[in-house]
Amino acid sequence: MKTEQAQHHSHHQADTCGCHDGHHHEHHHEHGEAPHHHEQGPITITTHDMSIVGSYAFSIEKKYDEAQLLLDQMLKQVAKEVENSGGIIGHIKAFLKADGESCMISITEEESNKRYLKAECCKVEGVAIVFGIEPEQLKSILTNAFKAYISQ
Amino acid sequence: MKIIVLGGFLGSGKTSVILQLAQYIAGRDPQKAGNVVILENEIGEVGVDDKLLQSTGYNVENLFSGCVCCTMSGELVIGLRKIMADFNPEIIIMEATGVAYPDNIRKTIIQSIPDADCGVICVTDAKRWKRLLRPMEMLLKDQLDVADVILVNKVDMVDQETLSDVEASIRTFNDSAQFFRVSAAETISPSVFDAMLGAGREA
Repeated sequence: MKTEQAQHHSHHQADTCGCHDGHHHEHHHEHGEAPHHHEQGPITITTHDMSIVGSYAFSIEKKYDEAQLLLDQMLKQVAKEVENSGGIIGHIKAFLKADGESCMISITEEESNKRYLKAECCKVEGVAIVFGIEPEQLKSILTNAFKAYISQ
Repeated sequence: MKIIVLGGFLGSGKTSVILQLAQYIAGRDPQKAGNVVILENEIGEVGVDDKLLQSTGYNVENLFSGCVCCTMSGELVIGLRKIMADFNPEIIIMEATGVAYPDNIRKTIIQSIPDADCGVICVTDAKRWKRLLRPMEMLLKDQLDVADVILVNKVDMVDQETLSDVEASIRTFNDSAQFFRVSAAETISPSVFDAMLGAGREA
C-alpha cells in the first residue's frame, strides 16, 4: 500500500517541467512525454503523478439493458477490489454505447426488401483512476473484472 | 474572451457542473450554444466525459492521455488557439483532469493568450472530503488555493454538521474565494453561475 507515500512528494523525473513551480507535484513518468505505459491491449495502465490510470475498451455481446447491468456490476467489483487492496478510488467510469437498431434495404426490382436488426453488441470505453496500489495490482483487478469480455 | 478553468479532485462533479453551466450560458436559444466551447482534458487513454458532453450538442474538444497542467501544456495552447480560430467563442470552459494543478493551467493560458480573462473554479466533494483529505492533502490544497470560486458539491449527500465541518476544513486552504454549496445532481442556482462567469476579472 502506498497511501502514506502519497503525502511525501518525492520526485522521480528530470526537473525540466514547469509544473514544479511553486507546488508539490510528484511524477513517475518522464516529462515532456506521454504518461508511462505499462501495457498494450484492451487494458492499458499508465501512471501520472500519484495516480494509477487503467484505461479499457471492450465489447459486451449483449443487448443494452443487460449490458448496462453487467457493466455496473463489473465496475462495482473493480471499486471493491481496489479498496480491499488498500487503494483509494479516484474515479472509475465508463461509457457504454449500443450500436442501436439497424436496417438493411435491398432492391432488385421495384419493391424494396428490408431486414431489421436489433443491436446485441455494446461497446465499453472507460478509465479507472486510483491511488495507493501498484500498477500491476490495478491491471490484475481490471483483468479479473472484465475477464469474460476482454478475450472476445 | 473568457476562459473558465474548472478544476477539482476526481469524481467531485466537474462534468455535472459543466453540463449545467453550458446550458445556463446558452439558455434556451440553440444559436447561443455556439458561443460556448468545452475543452475536456482527460488523463486516461480513452475519453469518457467528452462523450457525455457531446451528446448534449455543445462544441466539445478533447485532449486526452495526459494532463495539460504539465505534460500537455503545449497541447493546451495549441488546442485553445484552434478553438479560437474555428469557433471564436465568447467563453471556453476547460475541464481539467482530477489530478491537475489549475494554477499551472492559468499560468500557461495567461502567458500564451495574454488577452484572455481566465478564472479558476474548484469543485469539491463534500461526501468524500474527510476521507480524501489525509492521503490527498497536497493535491487538494494546491487545487484549492488558487481558486476564485469554490463549489462545495454533493451537499445533498451529507448532514448539516458534516457539511459545516467540511466547509471549515476547505476554508483552511482558501478563505478568500467565493463559496457556494451546491448539488450538481439538482438545479444549481443562477447566482452560482454568475459568480463562475465573473471569476478572474480582478485576478
